[in-house]
Amino acid sequence: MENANGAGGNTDLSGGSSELIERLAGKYMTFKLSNEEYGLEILKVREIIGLMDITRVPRTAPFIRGVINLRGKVHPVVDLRLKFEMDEAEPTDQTVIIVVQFSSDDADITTGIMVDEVMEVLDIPPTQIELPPSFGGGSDTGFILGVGKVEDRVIFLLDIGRVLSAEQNMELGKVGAV
Amino acid sequence: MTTRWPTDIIEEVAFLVVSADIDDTKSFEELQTLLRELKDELPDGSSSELTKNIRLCLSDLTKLRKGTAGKKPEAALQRVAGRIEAIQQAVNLELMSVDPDASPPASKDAPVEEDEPAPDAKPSVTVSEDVVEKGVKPAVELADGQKPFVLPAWVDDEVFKEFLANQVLVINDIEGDILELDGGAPRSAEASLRRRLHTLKGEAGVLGLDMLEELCHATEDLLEVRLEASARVDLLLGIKDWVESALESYAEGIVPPAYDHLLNIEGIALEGDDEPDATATESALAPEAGGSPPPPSPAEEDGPEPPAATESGGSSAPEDVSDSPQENILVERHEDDILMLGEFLQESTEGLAQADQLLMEAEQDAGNPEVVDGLFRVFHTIKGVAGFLDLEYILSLAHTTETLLNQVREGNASLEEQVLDSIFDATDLMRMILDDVRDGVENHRAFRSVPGLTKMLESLQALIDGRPPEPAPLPVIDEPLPLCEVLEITASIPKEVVKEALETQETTGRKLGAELVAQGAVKPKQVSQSLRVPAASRKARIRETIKVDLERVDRLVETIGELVIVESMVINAPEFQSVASLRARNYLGQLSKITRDLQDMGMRMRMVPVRTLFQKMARMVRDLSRSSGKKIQFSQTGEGTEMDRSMVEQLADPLVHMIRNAADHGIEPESERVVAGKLPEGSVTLSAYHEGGSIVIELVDDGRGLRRDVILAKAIKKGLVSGGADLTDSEVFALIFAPGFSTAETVTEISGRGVGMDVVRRNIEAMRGRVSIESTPGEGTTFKIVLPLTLAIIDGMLVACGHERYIIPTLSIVESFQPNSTNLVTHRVRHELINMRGQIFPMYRMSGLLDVEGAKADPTEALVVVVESAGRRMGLLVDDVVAQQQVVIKSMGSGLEKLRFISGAAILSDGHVGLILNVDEVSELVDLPADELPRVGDQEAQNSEEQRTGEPA
Repeated sequence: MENANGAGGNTDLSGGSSELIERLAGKYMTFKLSNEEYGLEILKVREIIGLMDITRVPRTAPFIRGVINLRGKVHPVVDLRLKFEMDEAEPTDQTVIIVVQFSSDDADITTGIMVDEVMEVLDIPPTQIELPPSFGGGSDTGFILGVGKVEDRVIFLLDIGRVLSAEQNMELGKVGAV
Repeated sequence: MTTRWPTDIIEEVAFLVVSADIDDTKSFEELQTLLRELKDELPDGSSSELTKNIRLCLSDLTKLRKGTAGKKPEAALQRVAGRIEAIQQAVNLELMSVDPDASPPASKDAPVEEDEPAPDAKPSVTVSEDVVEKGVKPAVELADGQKPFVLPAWVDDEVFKEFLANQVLVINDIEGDILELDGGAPRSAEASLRRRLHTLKGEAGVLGLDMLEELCHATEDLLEVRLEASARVDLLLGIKDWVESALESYAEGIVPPAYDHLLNIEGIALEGDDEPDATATESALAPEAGGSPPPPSPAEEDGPEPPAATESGGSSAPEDVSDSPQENILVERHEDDILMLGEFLQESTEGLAQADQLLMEAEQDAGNPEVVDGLFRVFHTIKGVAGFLDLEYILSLAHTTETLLNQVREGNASLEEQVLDSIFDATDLMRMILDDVRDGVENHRAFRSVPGLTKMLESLQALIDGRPPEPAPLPVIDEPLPLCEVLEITASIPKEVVKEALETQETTGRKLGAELVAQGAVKPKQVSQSLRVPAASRKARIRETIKVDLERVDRLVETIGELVIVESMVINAPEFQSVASLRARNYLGQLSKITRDLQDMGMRMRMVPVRTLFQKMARMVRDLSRSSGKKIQFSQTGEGTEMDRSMVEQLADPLVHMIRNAADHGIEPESERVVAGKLPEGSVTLSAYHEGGSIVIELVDDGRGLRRDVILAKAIKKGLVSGGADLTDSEVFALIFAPGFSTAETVTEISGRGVGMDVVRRNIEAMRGRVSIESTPGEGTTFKIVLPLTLAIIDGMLVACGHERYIIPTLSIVESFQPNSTNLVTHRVRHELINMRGQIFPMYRMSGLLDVEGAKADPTEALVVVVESAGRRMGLLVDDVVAQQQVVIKSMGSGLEKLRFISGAAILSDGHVGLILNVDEVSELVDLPADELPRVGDQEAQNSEEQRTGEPA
């Protein structure tokens, strides 16, 4: 059980599946979007903050909720529901912003992701991890590293760097250029 | 010819000669004219030496002009420069009316030795003949082993005699001091001894008594060495005896006997050589001297002139003799110069450290071109700045080293063995010269040639020419002049009196000047006069600086910014607002004040004066003037204005382009100017000043001005504007900032490709600044760059729109007003225009541009903020102006920096994030086909573009 760190965006998929699973095993913070449960590698989570005022940034993709002031620093906030093309939901008092930090192209990126509810920190052993099933239909599921099965729960293990960086930047670039 | 002060003339001469170029015969002519003028203006009593030097300069200049200055015109030019410096010092001295004893006017010619003793350079031979002819003939019969002593040509016989006469007393005093060393007050005796030795050394130097001078120097070094008291006294007494006999010898016209046995003491053993070699003694005593044993110097016995060295090249020139006369000359430097010198010293020291590193790398990897390039850059930079600052010794050393490195670069030499060693040595020597400069600045004295420089230049030159070099010994630099000597020199107070005063001073605790007045030795006026001459003890401060990682400073400034925000949040929190306690309110007030002070300091940390930037521009104008053949006068004002450091850097490129344009297109050729009734010399003025909360950089030329019709025609041809557009002058002029725009008929070396002005605008906008142009045909053009004070903080107008708030940089705002129905024009139903006092420009609803909901729909209930970008105005319709405030600019965070219409974010006083609009880009939010970007003021295009936009909300 190396640690969850290995399960980054640069995960080597060429290795054997058991090896891969071995590398995926570790601690995850799980959260809920609608009725689905997701896991974030714990080392990429910087903090969890309650929902705060978000300043809308015009002319950006809908999933970008805006920017927040986190102790004097400005960070974007992504609504993960909208990012995953789920229906928008009214925030509740369970709604939180998870501040994640990861590297992409040598740059440290800090972004808030808005989720419905934070569940717990789980240590998922290799035995409870499966590689992501093929969903078919051309949908991009590359950001799901694997599926954790803990008791009767199914937890999608996210490659958050992949969820946010490339695609998000592309989207933003497009908007900015208009 | 108008009558000018000789000092003024010589200053101009000095300036010219430093900037003169070998191929520039014009400047040589100019120099000659000036020198002749100087000759005419000199007072009658001027020494023959001075006029002789001028004469020599004139003849050298003629040779240079005609190209008959021998194989090394550079050396000749350098020689001229050296002479001119001597002339300058002499002129200054003559007008200072100095005690002839302490600082004889004869000292002026000393720097003949500065001559680059290039073998086969004719003029140096002339000089040496001169010396021999003019020297005092030593009609003395010599005993065995004795050598005749020839008084140097520049020394007046009378002065020499007077010196000798004075020394009787001095020797007695020295003896007294030495004996005191063993007695009750060793410390004050030592100090006094030092002073006397130092004075003696200086005077000996002036008079060309090399051996005496060197002994004094060695003795000074000796005093640094801690020895057992009685041994020390014995040693010093021996030295004193030698000095006494040496003075007698000199008086008889004989070179005194060798003295090195005197210094042969334990712990500072001489490097076992039997020669009566003063240089060796010195080197042995000097810690810097390193391993290299200095070569024998037979030349010094023959007198102080180095002609012998020029013949053989193998013997060392006792050039250090030349230092001393200069040493006594006090120089008043302008504070700005001191600042610049300080900066230069620091940069050069850093550069040399880097050079060391590179040289060490070169030892491992001689063929690495990057190393050579790096070294080249270091010396090139030093050379460039030294040229500005008139530091000719540094200039010549850096230049020669650079030349050698260039040989390496071109593959004519390799960075190994001797070449490598020489460059190492050059680096060390450069460091010593820099130390001397630092010392010179601090003590207000002229800069000296460092001993060993000529030698070093020679050996470098040898390497350049592909010959094996002579080993260059590392020299020693001596001490500055203490206060009492300044008084002696400037107020003509006898030494004894000063000495007495110094002694009583210790008991009375009064200042030296006050002491002297109290003793009736001087009139208060004299003291004040001599105090006006910067004294050695009153050091000019080279401001100490430390180098801090810019990132750290940025972080500090950022943190302060956060503090400012939190502070305002605290102060504005309702809970605190309602606090009634006077004490608590007081504390809050203090907190605010300190926070503001801190913010101010934080901002200042990054601020530097624009001076260096302006100087680079001055240099460029000069070069451009040369290459274009137009005479251009460059002037600058406000160079002390401070700006954010990174902005100064970013400003360099735009200024280069603008000045090139001004010189190439703006300023007309001389003939054209004369026809137009202008002065034949064009003028370019660069100024910096504060205006409101911004910094303005203005570039004014008096050239032909921008031609509206030509620009417009070109723009129409390029499709930037449509033919029927009605544009204001500033809108037309702004067209030149369009990419690829150039009205120049021919692309010259300097400009005309049309990339320049585009760069100008981009760079300035990147700094959140603005540039505007005013121009009158035939009279000139003014570029005005308005920049924020710092990059981190801007003045902003907080505007409300619907439920959202945005910040518009105040710099972009022209005005804001509430429109009434007469101000509003609807163009083809969908597009709104605003009419402000007859000016019509487009109005955009911010709610439409930024998709804001809930904004006021009726413009007459809202406010129009008129903004300007690239010479074009537009109105932004907002609900209200909330406040005007300074905001700290923050990055928008991952990914969002790419939004061009938002230049950043700011934390508002309630802790929320406010977005800062980039006015230059915001109009591009109007959906446009990519090929029709509204870069510049084209209303037609704008309007048609707007038609494609949906109705603003």
